[in-house]
Amino acid sequence: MTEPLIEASAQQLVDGDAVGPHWRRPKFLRHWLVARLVWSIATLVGVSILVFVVLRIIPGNQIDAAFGTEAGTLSPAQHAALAHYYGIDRSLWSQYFSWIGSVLTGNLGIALNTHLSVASMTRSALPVTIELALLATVLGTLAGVALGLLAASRPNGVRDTVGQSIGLLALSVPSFVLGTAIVTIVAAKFNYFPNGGEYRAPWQSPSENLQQMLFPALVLGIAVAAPVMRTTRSAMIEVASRDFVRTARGKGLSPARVLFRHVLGNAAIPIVTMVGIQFGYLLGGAVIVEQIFALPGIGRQVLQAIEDREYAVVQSTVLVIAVAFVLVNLLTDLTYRWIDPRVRGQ
Amino acid sequence: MGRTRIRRLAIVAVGLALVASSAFVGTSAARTVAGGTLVIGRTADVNTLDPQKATAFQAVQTLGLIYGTLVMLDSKLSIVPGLATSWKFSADSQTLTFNLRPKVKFQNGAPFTSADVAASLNRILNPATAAVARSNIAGIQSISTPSPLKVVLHLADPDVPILAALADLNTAMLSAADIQSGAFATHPNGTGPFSFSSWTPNQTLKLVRNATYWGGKPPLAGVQFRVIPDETSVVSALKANQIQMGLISDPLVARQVSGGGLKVLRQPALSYHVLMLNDRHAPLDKQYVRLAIQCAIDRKQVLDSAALGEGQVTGPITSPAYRSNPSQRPCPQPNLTKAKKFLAAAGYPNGGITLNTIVETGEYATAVAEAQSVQAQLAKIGITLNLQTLDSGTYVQRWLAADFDAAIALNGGRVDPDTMYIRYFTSTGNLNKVAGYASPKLDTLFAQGRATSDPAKRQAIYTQISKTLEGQGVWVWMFTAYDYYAISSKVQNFVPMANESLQYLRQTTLG
Repeated sequence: MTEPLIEASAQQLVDGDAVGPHWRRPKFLRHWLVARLVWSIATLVGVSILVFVVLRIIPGNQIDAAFGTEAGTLSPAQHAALAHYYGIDRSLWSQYFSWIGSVLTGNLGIALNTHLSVASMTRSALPVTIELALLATVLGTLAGVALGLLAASRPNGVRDTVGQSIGLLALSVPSFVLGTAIVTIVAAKFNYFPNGGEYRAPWQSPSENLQQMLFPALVLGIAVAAPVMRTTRSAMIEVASRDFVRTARGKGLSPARVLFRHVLGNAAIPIVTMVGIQFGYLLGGAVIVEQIFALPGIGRQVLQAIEDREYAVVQSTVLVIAVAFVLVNLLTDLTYRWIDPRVRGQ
Repeated sequence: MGRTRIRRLAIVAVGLALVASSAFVGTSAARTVAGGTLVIGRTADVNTLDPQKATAFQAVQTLGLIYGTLVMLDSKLSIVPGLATSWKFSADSQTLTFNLRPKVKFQNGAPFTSADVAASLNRILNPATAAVARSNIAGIQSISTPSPLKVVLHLADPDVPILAALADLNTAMLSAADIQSGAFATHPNGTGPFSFSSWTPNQTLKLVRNATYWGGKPPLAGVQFRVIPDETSVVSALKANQIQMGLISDPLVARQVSGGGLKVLRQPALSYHVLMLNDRHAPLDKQYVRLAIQCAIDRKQVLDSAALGEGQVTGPITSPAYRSNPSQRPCPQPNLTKAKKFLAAAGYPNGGITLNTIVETGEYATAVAEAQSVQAQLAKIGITLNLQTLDSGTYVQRWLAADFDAAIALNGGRVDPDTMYIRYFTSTGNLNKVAGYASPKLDTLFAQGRATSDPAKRQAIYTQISKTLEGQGVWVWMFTAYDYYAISSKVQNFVPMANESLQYLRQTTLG
């Protein structure tokens, strides 16, 4: 898990790195936005190169994937014909630039075995993933912040121990165990498994859709709740020890007002950062949960395409995910302006 | 400070509970089966709609319901009439004449004639198509169509196994017009019992019955294939009556299916689990070393420990009509004394042999457990297996390059033993490098098998091939596993087949 890293960066935010001195320079935000966009584009170019290279480094090409050991029965002429069809007989440069060129002109390519366009596949898969990520993030944030508040209210007390234990448990139980357990137990005891049915989009059947999203969103929500809880706890404890909190108490403000208005308000930046990061990850597709609950999301699309070595599908889908991730990060940064008056003022 | 906060927390908690419970509102677990449509759950989707290029078994299963072949297989995998009502080999087995079934129509209404047969076979023979079945019918030199209902194949050499190849979906009959237009790549159009209706990739593929099917209108109004990637979830969907049939390969999961009007059909597969030996690598080039390995391995124990005993110990040939008899192999029961004697005779009285053994992960559940079981058994006679566990892509590359001393493998079986093994064990076979063994005796036997059309004589020849392979200790054939068809008791008249075909859905009913 990358959790400790994430927590470290969240902690840095609490310590004031991101709201440090350079935020006071008026021109910097404009600079920063431009720089941010340039960096985003550079990131996307980097992602495109990385995914292109990694796909070609992993052993096996489309022919091997389609034929397995049967590839040995192909004649050289057949092999050449297939290599030409899949476009893997061309130089890597030509493969990369023809792909990136068509992406720039709005053509994400097609899956060569199924003759489906990546754009149409993504159009049907992306909404599923976005909905799942949203639901999981909402559930996880609510539960995580609530637990974090509970734990922070008495550092090292009983509540803290309970809250922390729940957080640790949620971090330690892998999604596939929890997911499989839910699927098995609920189906065996109640003969209930909405995900066995045909997938329904919210606009087709809201009730069926919600049933199909319930368990996967819960499983992912628990995974989101744990780091959010830990971030909330540490941020709350840190902010609660600041002078202005003591002042607020001294003014005679009600404890609840101090907690929600002064402490939580100021602890919000690391929490939002953490939620943003988690949401970004979920947009990349919760592959395992999508597998267990048969949700036709973006994670499964990439996984299947990797197995089939459908290069265009993997490359373009990963690029779409990267764009989504970059957008979420930008949004997270904009949220800072909204919740932190110091940022807004500039 | 506590009270207000606790109240707010309570509100949050209640909110959470509401979100969770609202999803349950309107739940009706039991769904009725509309119009007799059978819903089948399986873990992967089709990856192509081109029957002649289909390799993944999901595609083969699905397209096998849409398309027809000249000859077909019955439940025992014997060849029976399909789109051809009769056929005849010339005396030298070099000409094969088919009489086509009259009044057969494609699902788009066009008549099926000899022109479609010629176009379909020519498409496979064209190297640019890169069709899988090309090597199986490459013996066709020319095709003539003396009448709309007669097709004559002129063969370069005696080629009896070509008949079995023509029962395979990879030699499916397309319409000549479709081949011209390429339309079948996105909208299949065959002569089979079900026609293509719609496909939402990674979700559902729908078929409806072909009311004009030449074999009679199928009782089922339709068949739907639903992708449920996780086998445990397939079983859950079955229990919740979201599907009525689940295709399962993991024995652990199959054992979860019980009660609730569910049952599991176990069908021994044609594919076989084997320890492949590279007989061109010293010291495996010594027959006695290979026989020592044969005698040290307890196949039943491998099956029991790796696959929960779910399968059958097998010899080389798995096709029901030609099945090898495992009790006729050297050391049908493990015999360590004999194994050590063989090793001593080969010049390794104390063992001391190390074999680099490749193992594939991810493709099937039992590979690593099999490898460890075999490793433990061979350690008893001083042979060390150096296990190299590889992902599928790397494994396939090493396998094709014969870059191993030994390989734990799950190799595909074929209906005809010639098609199954000629590519491995003849000196010119295109997988002979991988097989690591060839001999003039085997070359002769395979040639005889190809020229013999009398079933009893053919059987005798392949029994001899099987005995030669095991007597030489070429590979260590271990077991065939089961394919599982978990079905609701409402599903009737379905017959599973060893080649994983679902063709008997054409007679299946939902009670």
